[in-house]
Order: sequence, then C-alpha cells, then structure tokens
Amino acid sequence: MRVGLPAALATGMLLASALCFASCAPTGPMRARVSRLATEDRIRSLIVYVIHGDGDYIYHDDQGGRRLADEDALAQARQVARNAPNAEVFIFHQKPRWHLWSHPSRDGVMSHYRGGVLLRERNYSRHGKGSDFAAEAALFGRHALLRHLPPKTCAVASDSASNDFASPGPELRGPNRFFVYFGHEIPILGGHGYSRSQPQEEFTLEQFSRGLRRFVGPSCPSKRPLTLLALSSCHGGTPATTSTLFPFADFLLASPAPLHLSFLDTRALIPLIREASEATRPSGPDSAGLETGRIRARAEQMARESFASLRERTQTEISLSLYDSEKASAYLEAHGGSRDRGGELGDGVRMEPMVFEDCGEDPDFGAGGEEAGVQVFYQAPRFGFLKVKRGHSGWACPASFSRAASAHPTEAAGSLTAPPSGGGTLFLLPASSEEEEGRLPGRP
Amino acid sequence: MISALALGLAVSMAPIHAKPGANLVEERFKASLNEMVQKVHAVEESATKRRAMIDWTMRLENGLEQVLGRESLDAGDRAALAALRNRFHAYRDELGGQGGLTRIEDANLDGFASYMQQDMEQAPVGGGIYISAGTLVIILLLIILLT
Repeated sequence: MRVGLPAALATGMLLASALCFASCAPTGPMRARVSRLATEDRIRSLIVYVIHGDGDYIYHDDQGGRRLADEDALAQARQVARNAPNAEVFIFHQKPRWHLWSHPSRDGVMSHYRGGVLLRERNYSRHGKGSDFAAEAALFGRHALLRHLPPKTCAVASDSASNDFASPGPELRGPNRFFVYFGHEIPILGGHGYSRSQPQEEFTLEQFSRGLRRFVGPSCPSKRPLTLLALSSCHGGTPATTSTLFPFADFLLASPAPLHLSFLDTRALIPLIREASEATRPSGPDSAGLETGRIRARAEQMARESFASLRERTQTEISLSLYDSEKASAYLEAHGGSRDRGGELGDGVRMEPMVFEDCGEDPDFGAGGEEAGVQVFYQAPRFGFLKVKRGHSGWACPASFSRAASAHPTEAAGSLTAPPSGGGTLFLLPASSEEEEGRLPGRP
Repeated sequence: MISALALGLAVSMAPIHAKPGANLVEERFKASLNEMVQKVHAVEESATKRRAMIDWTMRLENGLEQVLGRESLDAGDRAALAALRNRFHAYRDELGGQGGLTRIEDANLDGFASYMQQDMEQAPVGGGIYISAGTLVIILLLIILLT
C-alpha cells in the first residue's frame, strides 16, 4: 500500500513532535535540579538511614513466611522518604561483598530522596574504606543539600575523635536531624566479622561513633548535632553504648534487651517531619523548650508505635528506652558512669554467653526510669524465668558470665530466660496474669 | 550419613575465612526451626504439639552434648555450643515443668513454639559471627542429621 503525501507528512510531523518533546523533557540531572530548586526552601528535616544487611537477618513471620529484616527496614525507610515532602533523606543499605577473581563487588546502595522524590539511587563500594561509614559519609557530603548552610560557629569539641578527620564533611544542620541505624548488636569489643562477608573487618561501638562523627562533624559542647538517634539493634541500651552516643543527639531511642528482627518502626517520623513544615513553629522566649517538647512527644510516639507493633507479634521480651540525653547522661555519671561490668572477652572473640541483666538489679545503679530521664516501654517475655518481671530501669548491663553460670549451671548464657543469682530478687514476685502497661516508670 | 560426615570433616578443615558456610548454617537452622513451629501450629492435639517440641529440642541438645565432649574445641566455640545446649534444655524444662519452671499450659503451646522461634532468631546461632567455621559445620550436620 502506498502512503500518500499527507499521511507521510503527518507521520513526519508526529515523529518530529515526539523528538521535540523527548529532547525538551528534562533529563535525569536536569530533573533533579528542577526538583531541588523547587524544594530547597522547604527542606526542614534531614534523615540518614544506615541499614546493615551483610549478615544473618532472616526471620519468619507468624505465618512461617521467610523475611529479611534489612529488606523490611529498607522498605520502611523508603516509605518514610516518599512521605516526607519537607525532608531530605539518605538511605544507605550495606550489603554483602562478593569477589570475582579478586575484584570486589559494590557492596552498598544509596538512595537519596528530597521532598519525597527519589533523586538518585546508586551502588557504591565500601571496600578499602573501613567500617566507620567513610564511604557513606563521602556520598552524603557530595549530595547533601545542607552543605550550603553556614558552618557552625562554636568551638571544636575537645574530644580527640573529632580531630581525627581532616575533612569532617558537611554537618547535619537544620531544625530536625535524625539518624537511624538498623543492624545486629554493635559490640563493645571484638567485632570482627560483624559484616559476614568481611570477617577480617572490625566493627565496634568505636567505629560506629567515628562514623557518626563523619556525618555530624565536630560537635558543640552545648548543642548536640542530632535531634534523635534511633538504634534499632539488640542491647543498644547499655551504659557504655548510651554514654558514647548521648553527645550526638538530644534524644536516643534504643533497646536494652534483644530486639526482634522486625526492628523499630520509624514511620512515626512522618508526622514529625510534616509538622516541621508548618508555619506554626513556636516562637518567643520559650520557643526552644516548646520545640524540644514537641520533638520529645513525637519521639515518644515513635517508640510507642514501635512497641505496639512489636507487642502484637512478639512472645519474647520487649524493651524500648527513649533517653533524654542530657538528663540520662547525668544520671549515669551519678550512678557509676559508663562502666560495663564485662563478661570474659577474648581478643577478637566475644563469648556468646554474654549475659545481660537489668542494670536496676544493682542497688548502686538505682531504679532508672523517669527519674533518670528515660521513658521505658517494657513487656516481659511470655515464657521463661523473666515472665514475672514487672518493669525495667531502661538500661541493660553485661553481667559476669562466671556469676551467671554458677548461679544456674543449666541456664545462663546467651538467653534472657536465665534466672538471676541467689534469691530475694525481682524475679520472685508473684506472676501476674495481666499484661504489662505500655509505659512503665521503671523498675518498681 | 557417612558421606555427610566425611564432607563435614573436610569442610571443617577448610580455612577459617571460608565464612560463607555460616550463611548456610544460619539459614538451614532457621528453616528447620520454622518447619517444626509450623508443624506444631498445624497439629490439633496438645500432646502431639508438646511431644514434637520436646523431641526436637532433645535431639539437638543430645547432639550438642556429644559435640561438647570433643577436646579439640576452643574456649569460644565450647562456650557458644554450651549456651545453645542450655537454651534447648531450658525450653524442654519449661515444656515439662521442670528446673523451677512452670509447665506450659496446653492453650499456650502454639505461643511457646513461636517464642522459641523468636528467641532463637533474635540471637544468631552460637553467637553467629563469633563462632568458628568448624563449629558451624558441626551445627549444620546436627541439624541435617537430627531434624
């Protein structure tokens, strides 16, 4: 069939139009630039997620379905990012590294959102850069909008760690700054093999805090760089860990106990971020206090919602602590500081039978809880020796392995179902058939 | 079974940095545990539920007890295996109402099965990253042979 001239002309015009629209359509970088310009003046919050996925994060849901905790955390983080029109969100997913003829694979994925829009998603490599978030912080420094804000004016903090970096990187500035970490328990010592594919690499609390410092830069003694730091891992609420992290954030959310692999739910950050965009921010002489109160309320809401979510599906112990850093750090100083009564730790090996117990079991530590600036959300396990436990101080202390083992030789090690030593302790209270309240004032 | 043991001996002599085996152990263990839990949930009769959990924990506990008899274990692995054995023993105690623990009521057996699963999944097998490759293989063999 021969095509007539008018049809050919029409086809040509159509093709030309298509080409025009295609060439006029914003390309990737241009689209990103347009998006940035459109939202730059509206960005009120910054969230950084680091999700560790180089390990065993398999768990099973109520129906026996196999799930990966890091992938679940990633999906949740993306949901927060998409629903935060006034926030900039960085999500770093750390993944196993493969080697192909000695060439290491890319072992991280960065997702960068701004104003609810995904600006870029790229693979990156952590190889050869250490375990203290150097690769992640470099990407953050390259892409974060807030690097354009004026630098801080206070003096550099006196701690030596902050002076270890020639280029501390852009600071997390702005009215709301959040850092969320998902992963297994961060060890105090040892830490080799924390990333399963890198057994020779060490990751401990020291590396974690150095990594935080890369994001937040030198801190002002009188002002913490982060609004909220959420540690979604087991045993994040020990005196040593919290003391190390208190200088970074006004509020710290962590679990003193083992935390179910379904992790914390950070979607409660969404209303907090949305509120920050409103023009109703407090003003006047007490504005700082009002703002702190608002953030505390939202952080409490996040803890409460996480607790409720865990409570629905978890038979094991649930313990979430929301720490007011200033008050809680003062309490620790007055009650033994950041001491960790350790079990026996070999070089590079942490004995699995690291028994943790409620710090409140130690009379010298005190009751903790609200008087210590800690809101405790606690549910005793439904089974085991601890099922009669009524409350929690908000901190967990490593107990002496030898003491725990001698107390109950057939128990001890590695489980919070281990009974305490001797008698006359909290665990001899009569069992209660009623469930615990969601919010407890600390150990009675 | 003999070929599995021979394979296990060969793998246990592999370089310590052959950690990919750890992933296999973790996954196989959790899958085995999940199979047991789902079977318990599916069964109607309480006595059958209880027996299934007791049998499962006892097999693993006895297997670990035999392994602990080996003098070649280092201190870290020995402690990790002992902790695992103790954990299974504690579950069994609670199912039977022994060791100072109240016997699990029939109505709570499904919940207890889930509790075991969550308790084990929260803490990696034998401490996970802190256990040697050889001991991981031992646990894998136990899981394969005994469950």
